[in-house]
Amino acid sequence: MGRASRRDLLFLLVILLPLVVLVAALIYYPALDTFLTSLTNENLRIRRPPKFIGWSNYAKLLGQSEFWTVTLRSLLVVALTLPLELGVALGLALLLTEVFPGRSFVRTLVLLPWMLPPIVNGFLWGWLLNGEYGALNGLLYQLGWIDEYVTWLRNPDTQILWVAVVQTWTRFAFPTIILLAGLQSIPTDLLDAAKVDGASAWQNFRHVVFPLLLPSFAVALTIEFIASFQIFDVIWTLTAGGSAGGAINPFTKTLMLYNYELVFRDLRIGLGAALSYLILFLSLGVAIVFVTRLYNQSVR
Amino acid sequence: MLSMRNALLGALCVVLLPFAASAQKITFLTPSWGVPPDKSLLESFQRDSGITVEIQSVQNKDLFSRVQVAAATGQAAADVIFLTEEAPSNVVATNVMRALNDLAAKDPLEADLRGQEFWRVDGELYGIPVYSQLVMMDYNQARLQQAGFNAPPKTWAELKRMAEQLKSKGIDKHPIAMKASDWSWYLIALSMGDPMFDDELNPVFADSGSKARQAMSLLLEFFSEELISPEIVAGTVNQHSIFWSGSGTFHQGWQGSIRVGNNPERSKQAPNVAYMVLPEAGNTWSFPAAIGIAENSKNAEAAWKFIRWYTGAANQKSIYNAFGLYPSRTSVAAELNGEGAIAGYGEIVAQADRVNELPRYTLWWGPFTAKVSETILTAVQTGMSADQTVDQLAEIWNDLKSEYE
Repeated sequence: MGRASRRDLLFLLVILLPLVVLVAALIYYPALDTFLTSLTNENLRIRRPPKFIGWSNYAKLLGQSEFWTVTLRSLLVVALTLPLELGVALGLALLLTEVFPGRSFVRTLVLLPWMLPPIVNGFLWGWLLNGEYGALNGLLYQLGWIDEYVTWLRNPDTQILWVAVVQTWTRFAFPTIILLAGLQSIPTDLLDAAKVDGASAWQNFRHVVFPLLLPSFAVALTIEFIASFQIFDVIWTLTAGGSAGGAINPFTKTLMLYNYELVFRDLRIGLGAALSYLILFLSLGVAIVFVTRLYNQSVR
Repeated sequence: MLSMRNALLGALCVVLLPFAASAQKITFLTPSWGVPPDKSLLESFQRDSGITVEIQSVQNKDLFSRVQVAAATGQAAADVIFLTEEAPSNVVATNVMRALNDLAAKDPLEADLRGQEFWRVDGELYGIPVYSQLVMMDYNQARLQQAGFNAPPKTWAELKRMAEQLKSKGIDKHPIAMKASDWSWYLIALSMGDPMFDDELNPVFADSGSKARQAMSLLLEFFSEELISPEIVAGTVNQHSIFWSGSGTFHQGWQGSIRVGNNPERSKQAPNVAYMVLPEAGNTWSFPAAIGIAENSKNAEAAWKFIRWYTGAANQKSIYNAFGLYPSRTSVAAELNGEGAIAGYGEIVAQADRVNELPRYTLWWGPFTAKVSETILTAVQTGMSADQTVDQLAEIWNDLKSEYE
């Protein structure tokens, strides 16, 4: 190895070392510590030294019906949110790629819900949907579409549906930007060639635009899957309740709320740490499927 | 010119140095209603004592976990902690508060500061009482008279009949303002005369034919017949906000709640709200609040000075005026009563004689009471029977008891 390349290597190490140390200290060490905690019976409510209990916390969670209920509910939120969110995002991205007066303003406007913290969106929608004095009831009543005010969040099924709507409202801007970027990277000569060949707008979209948009779509899908699967703020503010004892609405309890309940409310740190890892593995599993099936396939 | 400026700066430093040296900062973790309402009072305390108080207002449910998590790492979430009604189980029983005996020995507490015994465990004092509280009920007298009733109900069955009348006559669509939660059940069960737990902390509420079972059945009927607004089940409002917004005739309130209910700026029920002594046996439970010092606080002396100011007469009076929270100092209560500021004093005194405390210092009370609310909400939403609900609660209690004991 020459002196120059040794110097390059040294420079590389100097540049990388602080980053490696930071990532290790802020991500890998806490992750490792959380994993080790998940193998103990640590409970902050009981002042005792934590005892190593092996995989018991994992076995306990996997053997509980509550874990599977909240997992299925999390998947339901994903199943309701993703098509809605990506459908809206795709539609808006296609619209915003066109040239029209005020396009920049509309593009900025689209970002607005994303710029608001999800907590604010949750409260905002809570007020809109309030059955006694909510704006939605007021509007529909004025239009004559309802005869009396509706308690939109009364029923557990509609609660989940509204959670999906509010999550869509909160998040749609991000996939819109990704898809818009993807659309703008499609070479225009391909689109022109398809037009010359007599392709209709739908055929153009179906056979040219969408296949080329798939890598962006896969990225948006993966990120939004994780965001929906790990939904917390919107549910917390919209339907989780919030009484003095820290009760959580059992009908909209998803994995992250269950994790909050175990770690921060009940202070069962060991069990909560195990749940965190189960959530990580579940998210990772689905993300891998999305990436390998969609992204890699489309890139190939 | 430059030397003159330096001389001035130097003089300024000399003047300010003693203040800088004596300035001390403490932190105070509290739910919103613990924030001192009179800012000028707080400012004068800070000016006089040289102690700066940084107030961290958080949601009640987040307060406990912050205190616990900080304590687990050997830190103090804040120097001073506001101890709410669920603090005995969530904060005091878990040993994360500092015993105040040594500080109280140096600076003895006045005799008129009521309720100190509630915050004493094994002889150690963990909190200085801020306000006394009982869960009570109040009602809209005018609306009840409109339905043809001249006095509040004496039994829960009568209350339900009155509510049905109010609803059927179109006077009040949802006459009862109660939540689908733990408190509603405790209130009805205790008021009916159920002891809930025996001396060995067994859940006698689940005994066959118990009053607590009847109470659960009644509560679930309130919801199924929509005597309680479905909006409560939706979780976007609580029993207080819905009552003060004008919906409801009977309201689960507290000692002091009619102060808010009869304030036209805050309530559409004003000026018709009055207390009612709870029906039947009429028992309730108390939920006093206190203020204490975190176990790992490094500013205990300054924190104690703040606590002494906070529980002083002037601040207690301003808390009463802002939130209707009944002062723990008998002298302040007497003064307010003398001024005619405490409405319903007679009912408050009558209700105070009927208290059946719940075992709130047990380590598992916090998780249990949260589960009670969730189970009641489940029963309301799914139509689960009252007996199934109570059986499930007994099972939860016994599981927690065996885990924590």
